[in-house]
Parts: sequence; C-alpha cells; structure tokens
Amino acid sequence: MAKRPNRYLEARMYMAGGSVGLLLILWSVFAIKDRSFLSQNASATDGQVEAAATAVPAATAAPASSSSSSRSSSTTARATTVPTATPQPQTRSKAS
Amino acid sequence: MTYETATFQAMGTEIELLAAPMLDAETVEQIRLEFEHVEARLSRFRPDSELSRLNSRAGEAFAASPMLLQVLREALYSAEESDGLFDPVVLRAVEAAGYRESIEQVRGSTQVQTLVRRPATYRNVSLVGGMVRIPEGAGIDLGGFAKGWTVDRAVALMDGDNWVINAGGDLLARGDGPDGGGWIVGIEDVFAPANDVAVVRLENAALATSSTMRRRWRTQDGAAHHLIDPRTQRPSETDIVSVSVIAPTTARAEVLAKTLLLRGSIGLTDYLSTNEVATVVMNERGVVTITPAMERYLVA
Repeated sequence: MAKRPNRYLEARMYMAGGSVGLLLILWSVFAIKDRSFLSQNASATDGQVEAAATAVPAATAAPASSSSSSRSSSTTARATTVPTATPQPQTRSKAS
Repeated sequence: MTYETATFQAMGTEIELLAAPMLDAETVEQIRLEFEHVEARLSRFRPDSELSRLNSRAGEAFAASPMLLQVLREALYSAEESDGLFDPVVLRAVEAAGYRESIEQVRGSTQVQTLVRRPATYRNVSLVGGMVRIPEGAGIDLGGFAKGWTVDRAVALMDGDNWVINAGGDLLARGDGPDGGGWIVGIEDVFAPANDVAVVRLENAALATSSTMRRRWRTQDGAAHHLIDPRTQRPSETDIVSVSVIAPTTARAEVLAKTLLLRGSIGLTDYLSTNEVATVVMNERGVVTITPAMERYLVA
C-alpha cells in the first residue's frame, strides 16, 4: 500500500524553509541599510576631521613669518589669535 | 639687534638717549652741551638767563638772540594756533600759584597763592626785527615747550638714523628701532608710575605727556599744580589728569597734550570730533580713553 504523504510534515518543512528565506531577506535588507548608514557616517566623520584639521592649527601657534604663500592668509589669522607676550618698553613717556 | 642708552640731568629732568646699534660718547656729550646751552638761555629759574633778563625788562624793547627769537616765534605761533589755550605769557600766573622756585624747593613748604593783577597774553607780545617787547608786569615761561623744542633742535646732533631723545617724557624717535617695527615706548600711568597705561611703537614720530599729577605742591587753598589755564590765570581745574599725544615734532606733541588737558573731558571730546589726534587720555577717576588715531601705534 502506497505510503500516504504526511501533509503535516510537508507544511512544517515549507514553513521552515519560508522562515529561513524571510530571515535571509530581512537580514539582507538590514545589512544594506547598515552599509548605507555606515558609509554616510564615515563621510561625516571625515568632514569633521578635515574641519578640525583646518581649525586646530588656527588655534595653535605658528610664527607670523611663515613663508609659504598658500599658507600666508591663515598665518595672518593666527597672528591675531595667538596671544603674544607684551614687549618690554625700551623707554617711557613720563608725565611732565 | 641691540641698542645703547645714556642719561644725564638737564632742565630739571632726566634726559635719556637711545641709539641702535651703538651710541657713541661724543654724541652724548654734544647733546648734553646743547641741553645745557639752551637751559642757560631759556630757564626762568636762572637769574642770568636771557629769558630772565627779558622778563626783568618787561615793558621795554629787548634785543634778543637768534635762539630766543626762534623759540619765541614758534611759541607764539603755537599760541595763535591754539587760540590762546597754550600761552607762554603765563609766568606771573605760575608764580602766583606758588611755583616761584625749583619744584623741589616749592614742595618743601606751603606756598601762598595770590592773584595776577593785570594778566597779559601772547597777543600783547611784539616781535619786530630782532627786538622783543612784552607788556609791563608780564613774563614768559617757556617751560615744557622749551624742553620739546630742544629735543627737536638736537636732532641735527644725533649720529645715525635709529635713535630716541627722551627729555623727561617728551621724546622723539627716529628709525625703526633695534628690532624693526619702531621703538617701543611705555606711557606712564600717573596713578601708578611704575606701570604703563599703554605701550606704543614709534617710528619717526614724537610723543609727549602732560599731567596735573607730577608737579604739585601745597598752598593755603589746597593742592596746586603747574598747568596754568590762561583763561583763568590759575592752575587748571580740568577733570583730566593726563594726556599723551603723538605728533610729528616734540614741541607740537607737548602743546597738543597740554591744551587737550586744559580743555577737560567735554572740550576735548568736541575738539577730537573734528581733529584727528593720536592720544591717550586719563581722567581723574582713572578711566583711560584711546582715540582711533592712536590705536595703530599700540602694542599693548
């Protein structure tokens, strides 16, 4: 007598396969989203570093006499922001 | 680069010379002799000076030396330019305020203030040819003007082109200083003389400071000082205690500093609204005002 197919078992197999497929699809979707987020985040961070790279030297000392012409404008800015020691007077105008 | 300095006493104050890179002894001696020479002719404290002889012959025609004529012409010109706010014909008012001897002697005791009976002004002085005539009873005090004038005159004797002549605070700077960018000059805080209210860089410019705080003495009416207001013939009652001015010549800086001080806060503000003057002003409450024209000289 031919064995009667176990419909219950079949249904469970389909469900398990379907679940795995669904999980794969969901995983793929989240994986794509994560990549997109990470790449966006990465470019934002790079931008901040660049900004910091331009900002940090502006707050640190550089001699006003730096010679490179491409840096000369920022050197001028540095000269105004960096506090310098007050020069000692060589002579004085006393009240008379 | 380095610089050298030398000091000597003249005109009742310390004269300081600075030069970069070197200051030779012969130049110092020439400048010292020049200050002595001018003081011998123009001091009101020396009875034998030419100025004292002129004052003692007020009301008569007086044959003046070329030096006296020159300094009088320039002083009278400055008086005219200031509309009489600077006036060298205030000797009797200075004496009436109690300043009859050197400041050290005047400070030693309480002075008696009197009033000038018949005040005269620079308009009453005549200079014709080599003859000078001042009104009877009047007298000329060249004081600080002569000091600044002597600094300007000593320029011809300085060696090189990078130096400062400082006569008790009235000074002239030539060249760009020992390190370039100008000579660095502190402006004294009259309330705390060890400190400066500002520090400036001077290059081919003069600076003078006038104050009511330095030459002071006691009188029966209270404290008095040497800055006479020609309008009242008495020590000025201005609310300003100190004015420093940068100008092309030392004599000019001295006159401007004195007349700005005499104007008081209100008059000074009016004057500066139409005249660009590089000045640092301190009032009696210690408030310091720096004009925009002065800002370009500031290093602190």
